Amino acid sequence: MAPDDQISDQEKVRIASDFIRHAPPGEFNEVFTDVRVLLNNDTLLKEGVAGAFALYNKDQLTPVKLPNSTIPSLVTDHNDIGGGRFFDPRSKQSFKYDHLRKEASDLQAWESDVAVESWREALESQFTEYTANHYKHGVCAVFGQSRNDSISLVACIEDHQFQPKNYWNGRWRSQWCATLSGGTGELQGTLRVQVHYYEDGNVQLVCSKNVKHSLTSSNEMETAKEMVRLIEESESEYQLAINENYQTMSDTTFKALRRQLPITRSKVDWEKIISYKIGKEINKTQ
Amino acid sequence: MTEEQLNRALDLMRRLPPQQIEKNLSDLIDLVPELCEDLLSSVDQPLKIARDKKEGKDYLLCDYNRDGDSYRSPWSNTYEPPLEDGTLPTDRLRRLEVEANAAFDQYRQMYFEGGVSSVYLWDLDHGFAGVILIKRAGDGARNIKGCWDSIHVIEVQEKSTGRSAHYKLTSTVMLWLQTSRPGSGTMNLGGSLTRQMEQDGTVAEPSSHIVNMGRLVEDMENKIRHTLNEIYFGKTKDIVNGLRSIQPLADQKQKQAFSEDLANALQKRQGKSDS
Repeated sequence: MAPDDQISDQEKVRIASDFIRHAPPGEFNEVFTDVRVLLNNDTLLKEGVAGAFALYNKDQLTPVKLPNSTIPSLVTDHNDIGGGRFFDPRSKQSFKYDHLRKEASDLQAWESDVAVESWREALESQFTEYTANHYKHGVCAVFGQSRNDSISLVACIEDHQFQPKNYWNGRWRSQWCATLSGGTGELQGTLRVQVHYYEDGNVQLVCSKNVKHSLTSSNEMETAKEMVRLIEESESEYQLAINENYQTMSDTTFKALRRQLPITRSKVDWEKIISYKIGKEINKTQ
Repeated sequence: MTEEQLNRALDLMRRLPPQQIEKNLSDLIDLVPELCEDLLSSVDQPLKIARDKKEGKDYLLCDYNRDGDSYRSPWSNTYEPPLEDGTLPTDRLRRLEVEANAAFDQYRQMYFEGGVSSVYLWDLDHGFAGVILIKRAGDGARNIKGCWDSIHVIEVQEKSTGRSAHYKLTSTVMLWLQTSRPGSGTMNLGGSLTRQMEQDGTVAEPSSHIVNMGRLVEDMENKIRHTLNEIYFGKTKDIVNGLRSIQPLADQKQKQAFSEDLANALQKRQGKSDS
């Protein structure tokens, strides 16, 4: 494409939104500023790209402090009630969320779904204990919804470490969805890990895994305990598998790409390499 | 404004997942077309391979052997697709380029035991510059895809005496590892590290440049290989294990409390026996 051709505003919005949505954990502000300068059109940014901020925060399971509670909540797809508002089932409140400032405000009372609340609370208590036991700075949230004959529960965990002074950031996200109906159910999980290291470079680890289990549900507490047991098992298995992969990647794959030294166990004799060539040249002229 | 935009663009490329470099670069150029040439020459991309049908050998593509939409093969010294008057090195430089390609071809074989290499040189006012490229793809053993890309850009400033030169090397090594397995799902560990090194070297004859460049590149690659190992398989792994603990944290707190109690009890006993 010739430099004079300009793409449409729609395409610009698509590209800017894509960039925003792929910001590594902890670097939204930096990516936002980069995109703002490159787009060079604040109106288009506000009108067309603002939606991407919300999508990003929800996808990242962004933790949010509530002014009147010690336990933070999460911003996700599952507690989005529209109009820029989200609900926190733990404190029974809804709040306005500013996607750029990452702040909650305008707290209001929120009514939970009575039909599912006992199940949700049971899972929340077990899940909160599990989170505290495995995630040093983890934040979790449990959401529940009742339908005609079934109950759906969603449990999310987010933990992150941001160390921009050391040029790295990392985030773990777990999302578990259970559908219970008449004594049985299904548990589905999506586990995601992302790490960004950027001192004199750009190295990223992007991992994801989907898990499925079947459930038998008796009462609220027994089901919650069973779910957490399966979740703990799956997540630890996943973490072990990641570590094993690291071992194989370094011992096998990496070694096979480039040796530490040639098979002679000493560095290359460059004088020899060029003299061989010169020798060849001399032989050619004779 | 354009210089600030270029800095922002480069900052963005350092943050977006390197696994999508090509798409990101293409989108960036679409968004800010004025930066096209600057971006193509300053953003490293995974190396592409082309076949020199005349010589029956593979060669690597980068911005330095590109002219328009054509690329020059270091083996036949011609452009594909053919160009009427594509940029070519001078005769003297071409001779050095041929020798450099042969030398680094051997270097590649000794360290990488496979893969493809290419060297391209171009003239400067008081010397010359070059890029040494190496690409090594893994064989997919253990269900893991791996690939190594080296991009070494070297600037050679020849001193007026002609008996020595100053070599400035900027190297980027890209390392890509991906696997998809039942236990660990999809795991993608990739990106690049960049380092710079410079040193002087004596020049007895033109070939001395190859010895000097070769030693510098070899030392640089060995250093970067070591750092890649530490960052990829050490640092990023430690970060993951810092996010989640396989051992229950309560257990660890208990263990810690227990060892503290033990230490205190021992101290008390010592205190009693001393008095």
